[in-house]
Amino acid sequence: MRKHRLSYLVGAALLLGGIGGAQAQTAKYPDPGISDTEIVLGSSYPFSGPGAAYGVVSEGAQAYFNLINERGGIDGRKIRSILLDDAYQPSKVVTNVRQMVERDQVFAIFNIGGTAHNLAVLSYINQKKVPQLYINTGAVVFGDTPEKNPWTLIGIPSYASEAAAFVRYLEKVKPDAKIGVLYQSDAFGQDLLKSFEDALKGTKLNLVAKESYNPTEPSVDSQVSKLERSGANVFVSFTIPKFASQAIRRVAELNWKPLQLLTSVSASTELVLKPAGLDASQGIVSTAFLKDPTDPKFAKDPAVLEYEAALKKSFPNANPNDPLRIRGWALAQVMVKALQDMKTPTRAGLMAAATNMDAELPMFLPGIRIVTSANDFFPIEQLTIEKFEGDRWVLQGDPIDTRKPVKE
Amino acid sequence: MLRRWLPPIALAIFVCLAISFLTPFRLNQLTLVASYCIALIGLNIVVGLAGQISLAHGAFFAIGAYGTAILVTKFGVPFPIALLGAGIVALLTGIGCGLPAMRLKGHYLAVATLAFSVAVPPIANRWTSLTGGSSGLDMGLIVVPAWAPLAPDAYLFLWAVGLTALALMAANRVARSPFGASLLAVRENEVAAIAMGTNIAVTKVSAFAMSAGLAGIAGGIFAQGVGFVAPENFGPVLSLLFLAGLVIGGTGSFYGTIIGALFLRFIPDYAADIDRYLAGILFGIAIILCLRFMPEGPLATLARLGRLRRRTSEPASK
Repeated sequence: MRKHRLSYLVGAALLLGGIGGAQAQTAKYPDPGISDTEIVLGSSYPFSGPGAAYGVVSEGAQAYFNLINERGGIDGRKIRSILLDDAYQPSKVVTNVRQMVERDQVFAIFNIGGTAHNLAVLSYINQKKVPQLYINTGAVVFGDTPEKNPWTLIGIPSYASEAAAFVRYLEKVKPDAKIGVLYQSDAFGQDLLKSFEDALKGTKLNLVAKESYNPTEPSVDSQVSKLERSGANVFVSFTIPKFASQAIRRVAELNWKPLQLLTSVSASTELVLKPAGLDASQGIVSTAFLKDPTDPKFAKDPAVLEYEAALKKSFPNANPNDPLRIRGWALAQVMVKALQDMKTPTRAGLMAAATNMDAELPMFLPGIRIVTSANDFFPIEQLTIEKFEGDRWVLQGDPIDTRKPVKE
Repeated sequence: MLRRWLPPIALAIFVCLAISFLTPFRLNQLTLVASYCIALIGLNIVVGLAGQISLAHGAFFAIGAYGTAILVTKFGVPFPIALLGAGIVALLTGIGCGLPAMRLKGHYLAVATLAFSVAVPPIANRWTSLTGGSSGLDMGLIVVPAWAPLAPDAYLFLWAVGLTALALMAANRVARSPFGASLLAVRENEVAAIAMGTNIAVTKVSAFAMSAGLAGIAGGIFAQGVGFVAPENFGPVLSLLFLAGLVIGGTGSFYGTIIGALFLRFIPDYAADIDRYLAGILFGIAIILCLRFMPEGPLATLARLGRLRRRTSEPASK
């Protein structure tokens, strides 16, 4: 009664009119969204609502896809993107992804942001066997169990990688560290804290205090005071921008002089350090994996110049220094690399390429490789330590490889 | 006789056609429309019949959504029973909300009820053990019983449409009942209503309870339709949207809620198709245009136009 291939088009048109034609699937292209001339990618971003600032990630990505299309596409296939607004609501992400998969017939889903937002579609995606690639979250849950979610791949270093990088750095510069941690009491903060505690095992570093806050609290002043009284000489801040800024200011007010480690989530000069005061921010340490156009070291870097020119062409008014646009651009480079590496033009072929990669891509910091395998679903596990000096971040040495010894 | 049987027959035909011909995606969209529709029916009892303003409706909707999600995922309760349970929880909350409401009026009531809507997302965020906090709760697809030869989306759609029809019928009946009359009396003139022997407190609290119960059931259908609940879905704006949807559909008739629900579900999508960044503004303009040209809702406007035409054409035919 319910599965009439031909008639479903008629019925749907009858009701609402707005129907995307289901394209004919051929022997060469058993999956939808790909043909000799085109690859269709679907993305959902918050273009409105409280998370609208993240919407600009799409501009970086689109600028790169436009550049690739101008150069003739990937094996003659142009990338066409379907971009929908989810207003940063997980439920909207679900309806958007269903629309893109079922109505718009996309080949793959690319670059959706947010932990809850990606969790919301995780079971659907893996049931429908649609690649959900280079999502914008570092939550460990997405890469931990490749056998359970074989169609999902994260696009940024996991929180576990960052926590491990911090521990390796501390072992080097402060082997007798007494550490106090401030963390957000949700999946994000707990993910970071747990990874950090795991990485501390077997080292001589001491975790002397940890304090949590809820994102609905007005301030973290009392938590920071408690950490100061604990006698810690290292302050680790696993916080979102608003609280990161408060904590930095509070540390300065208390005249506490710990070594400060700040999660890259909040390593924003504009959103965090300037509001906290640049004086108070000197010497803060964080992690990076992408090139920063404001770093004089990369002023003449061809990858950065290419990015700036292409972004200007596609989005003349966009600020190229926004880390979110840079991230969109870089993840689009990984996406294109995966599409180029496909051995068969199928969704399974794309996943095979994406999960069997060892590449160095232009927008990533020198020495950072994107590495995946059938049992390693964390593409970026090298991070470069950066330190805030004067009014900008300065890279410190070579990337730290946080890969655990591979379990066989 | 025909008048009486026409609506159910038309509904049955619509449902059969929809299940046979629509894609699961479209059925899912219509399921969400049905959930909005039930929520608006509930809201119309408080706003349209009793003349009170409620900005707590998004909160009741959220309670229903979370209630259903928790019962299904944590206790393995079958969806229909979970829905009923969540409806009852929302109804009880509605009574709690109705108690202050019977003392407040107008703007004061609006602000007091708004407090409920503001409170829900942070509570859902904090109460991690129950609600999953910011990571939300994943319900997955509805479990279809073995006897039903239907795909999950079609099965849920049947429940959604069936409950919408039931809610419409019940609401229409309430409107015509003595209780409905006392609601109208409260709306028109509280002093006169008391003089006629209406118990204002009981009437108002009952209206809030019914309305909240329906919102709870609506929220449950929404949660299962989306398959996922998270705090960001239920911000205070949701309550405002419900009020807007209700006014757009027209508070005069419960059938207007269908139009309001379609508007809430589809107009933002169409607006986003025109321009992603201006979607919010276009949606706002659409609301204003509707209110400017169809202040009583499209149904009432059409009916008025119909009457006008008859009146102007009748003398000519004589």
